[in-house]
Amino acid sequence: MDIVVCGAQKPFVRGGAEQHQENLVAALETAGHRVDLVRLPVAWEKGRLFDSPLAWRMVPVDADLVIATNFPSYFVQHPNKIVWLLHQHRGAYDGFEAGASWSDFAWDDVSLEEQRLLTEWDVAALSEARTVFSNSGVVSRRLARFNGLDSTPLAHPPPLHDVLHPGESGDYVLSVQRQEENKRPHLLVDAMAHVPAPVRAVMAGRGELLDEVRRHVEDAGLAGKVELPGFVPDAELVELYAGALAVVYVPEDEDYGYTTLQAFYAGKPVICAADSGAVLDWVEDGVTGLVCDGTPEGLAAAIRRLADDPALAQRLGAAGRERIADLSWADVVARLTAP
Amino acid sequence: MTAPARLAVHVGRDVPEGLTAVLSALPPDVQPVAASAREALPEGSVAHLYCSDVLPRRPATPYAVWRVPGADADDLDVPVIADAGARHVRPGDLQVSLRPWPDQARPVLPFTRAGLRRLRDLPARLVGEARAGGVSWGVPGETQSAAQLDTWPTLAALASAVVATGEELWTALAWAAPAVTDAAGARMLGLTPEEDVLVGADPATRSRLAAELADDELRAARLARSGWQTARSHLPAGVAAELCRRLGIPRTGSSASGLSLALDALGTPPHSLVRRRARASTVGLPGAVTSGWRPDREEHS
Amino acid sequence: MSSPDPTSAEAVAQLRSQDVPANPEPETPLRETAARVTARGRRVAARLARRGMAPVLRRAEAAVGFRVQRMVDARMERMVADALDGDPAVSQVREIAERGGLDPDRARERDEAVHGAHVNLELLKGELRHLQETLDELGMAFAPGAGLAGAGARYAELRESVYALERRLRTAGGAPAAAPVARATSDGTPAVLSSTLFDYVGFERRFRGDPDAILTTLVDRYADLLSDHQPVVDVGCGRGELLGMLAERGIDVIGVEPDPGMAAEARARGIRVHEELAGDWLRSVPDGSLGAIITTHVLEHLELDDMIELLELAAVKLRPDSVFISETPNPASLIVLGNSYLLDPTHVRPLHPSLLSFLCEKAGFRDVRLRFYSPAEDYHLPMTAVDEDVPGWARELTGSVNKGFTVLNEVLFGPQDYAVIARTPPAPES
Repeated sequence: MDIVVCGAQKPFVRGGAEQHQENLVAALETAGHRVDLVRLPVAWEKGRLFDSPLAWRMVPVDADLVIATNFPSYFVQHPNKIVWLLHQHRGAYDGFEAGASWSDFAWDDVSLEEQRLLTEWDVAALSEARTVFSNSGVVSRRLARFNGLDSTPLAHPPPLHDVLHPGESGDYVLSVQRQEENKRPHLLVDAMAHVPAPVRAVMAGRGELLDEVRRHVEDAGLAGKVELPGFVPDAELVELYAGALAVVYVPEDEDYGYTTLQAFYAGKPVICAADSGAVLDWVEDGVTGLVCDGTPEGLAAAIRRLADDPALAQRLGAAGRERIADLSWADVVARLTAP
Repeated sequence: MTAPARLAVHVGRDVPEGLTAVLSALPPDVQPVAASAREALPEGSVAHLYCSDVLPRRPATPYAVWRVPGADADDLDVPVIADAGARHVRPGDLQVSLRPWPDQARPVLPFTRAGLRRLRDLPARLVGEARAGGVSWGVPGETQSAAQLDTWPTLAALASAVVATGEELWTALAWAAPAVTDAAGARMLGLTPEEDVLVGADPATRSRLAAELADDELRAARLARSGWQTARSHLPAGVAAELCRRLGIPRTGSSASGLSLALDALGTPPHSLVRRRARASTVGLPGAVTSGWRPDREEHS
Repeated sequence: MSSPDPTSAEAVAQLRSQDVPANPEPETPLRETAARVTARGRRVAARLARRGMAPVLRRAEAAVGFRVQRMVDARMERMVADALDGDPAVSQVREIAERGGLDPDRARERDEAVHGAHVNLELLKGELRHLQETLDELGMAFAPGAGLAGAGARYAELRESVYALERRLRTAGGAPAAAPVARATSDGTPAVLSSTLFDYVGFERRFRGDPDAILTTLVDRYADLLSDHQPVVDVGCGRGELLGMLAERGIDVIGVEPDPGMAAEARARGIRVHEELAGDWLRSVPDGSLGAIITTHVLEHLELDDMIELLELAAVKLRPDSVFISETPNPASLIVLGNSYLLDPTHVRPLHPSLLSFLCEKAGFRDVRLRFYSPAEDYHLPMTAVDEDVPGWARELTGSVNKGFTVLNEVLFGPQDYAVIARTPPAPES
């Protein structure tokens, strides 16, 4: 089949969505399809919100199948359109609702009319799709709550899934994430103050908050206990996963988060927070990891519990590995291209 | 320039009520032509629409049937069109409603209407009920206020849930209100109970169902979206588009008015910002944003 | 007057201003407001229909054939154009167009009005055609064979026979009139071929066209109709070629063929063949047991009485609402008469279409229609194109020559074959 994968991109920004679209293209090609990736720029702010959807509306796409991935690429018109939704315009929905600083929607007439119109447009564009999949239960729940639309969660293996492997449990908890506001990096730093030696924390990943978090570590006198190496090459990252005691991932209402799945591939339990969104699709308290209350003390208690009981950590990690045993790109491709 | 696809229409003794409206609402690149079994088919006919009283034993394919009362077309494996609320309607039939779509109506799904209630200092849980001669509104379980019937659109747009029948139910669906009605009300508008509206047998049940809806955000959203879409699909334009789709009439489209058609199809209000932006960004490209004017249609020459 | 937007602060204020406790009155369903749809198009259509039907009806009374169809169509176009001129909506649109206003809203309105007018025109055409079909059906009921145009003559004929019956009743002194007696059949000589010396098979091979092409044409013309009426009997089936092709389509077929050689060949195709004269075989089957009877190029070989007997038997042996099809050369086309008809020495008499339809009608068929096929276009006298810039007298001359040629073409080189398709009356409703 000739398949066009559609994705929106903010120029010069590369994140999970861009990587995800490329992985999808690769998986479809492996299955023997001819695939092209079509990208158009997107602007998120209110005044220009509808420009990119309208542009997608007018793009002539000739293919046997079109798979749209994120807002607003699903506005593309095609008789055989499948949507595998990574996210909608979060600033107009959940970000707006939570009053997130990154959403420019406010409780005024203009914002609400824009939000209403976007809801209507989303319903129209997504209703045209032959099937709507989402990448997680959280995205499906948002689609049901905000747009009244049904969708089927469809999970896929994370990057590095083919090289990640279990290993000897070490004396550190690992965090792998971009150091950004909604990932709440300060929470782990604060928690480490309540965790006795020799347990350390390794926080891999860059991000706009990296310097601020490093200063926070200095100020709290935790220099020996919290490491912030910044960017870590893939090979080292795989070994960091293999040698960790557990993986800490406490974002606020995450859509997907590869960290959870990567931890499971490495056979490590995941400690998350009760409001971590899609992470909770995977982490079941006391089964595949621990769910804390989102306070530094609560997180520290969870880390201590695993440090004191390595057998428990191993058992939870093994259960996590079991949980992702069925994930495969071949399965994802089969479901996306099913007639 | 491609010739328009033609839909051969076989009219019988009576012209069904909604036929003119549906044919008028066909996409600009699909032309209806009158046809008869006695004559050669008009050139370029790609599909047929038979009124059921003149449906021959061997209809030309592909075809659809308009179910005319008294000449019912049952057990057909083709698209069937009927007037909304007609006696014999099977699931999947296209139903045509000639009710006018309320002015100014636009879908406000539960999340947005909750925001508007907050903005307008209205209670977070608000149920509106349309009764004979007036409407009432208030928080479920508390004292209800009365208002004139002409305030109904405001309640239809802002309430967490509404109870209504007939014209008021239609208005509520146009505003995408999560709605509760009675069995007759649902049937008359061609709505599927539980999917498009909730149905209660008596006033007390209906009030209770509305109060429950006000608390169930997920269910309210689904119901509101579905009810609104179903009502819209009964409009002649919706029926015409779906008919073309089911008959497999190819869309040639026209770049001349594509941008406007796209905006229209998404339901964009006439004075919205995005329309102005689209117009502004195409001033140098005459014809890119029009209101449906097609230079290839002879009547303009 | 513009009411505030229902979601606006003003609208909500208005809602609150009426804030009074509601009487706990029992809920009564709101009366169903009548749909306030004013389909202007429908009204125009109705008006046109009222205005337009009378002339159409008058015309239909005097009308015959396609020419009228064409005239009605042309007339209708004019009629609708007139009506549209009178429609205020359209004149408004015209006015806008003339002012050259390209205001998008107006342009859209104009578009919709014009589009709506087109749709209405099409629907009107459909309605008129349906009406015409109804009139035709009515004509068939009155006067099978001639249609509504022959209704007058038919009526006079019927009236005359009623008078005759009355006269006979009076002279017979009140004795009940005997039911029409079926013509006694004689075991006469085989009428299909009166010469024993003529080599018909050889003759056919030389002078008839390509047999495959002939067959395909026959199948195209009749297979659909025949498949609705089974079993199908081919009277004079010859080698059973037509039946063979019908049988391939799953149609139940029976052949009747007196010639032993041909019958044997037909049997070899796996067809059930009765090797006897059509009249004999037909008499042997129960009344109302056959689905359809087809004869191709057979009737013109029969003596008049045999032919009438065959038609009468067919009408009796066919089920109600079944079909009898007979295709023969069209002697009304003079080239046929002078050429292929005379060429075959076994032809007994030219069978004029009007005669055959008359005989069918007399034999008891109800709905009798004629269809004409394959005009001898190769011979057609050429039409001359009328140039706009030639002098008037030349144009006139060309016009009358063309008109003359048209008539000549019709008479000399008209359709070479015709078929009569006759139906037995439907079963009486219980």
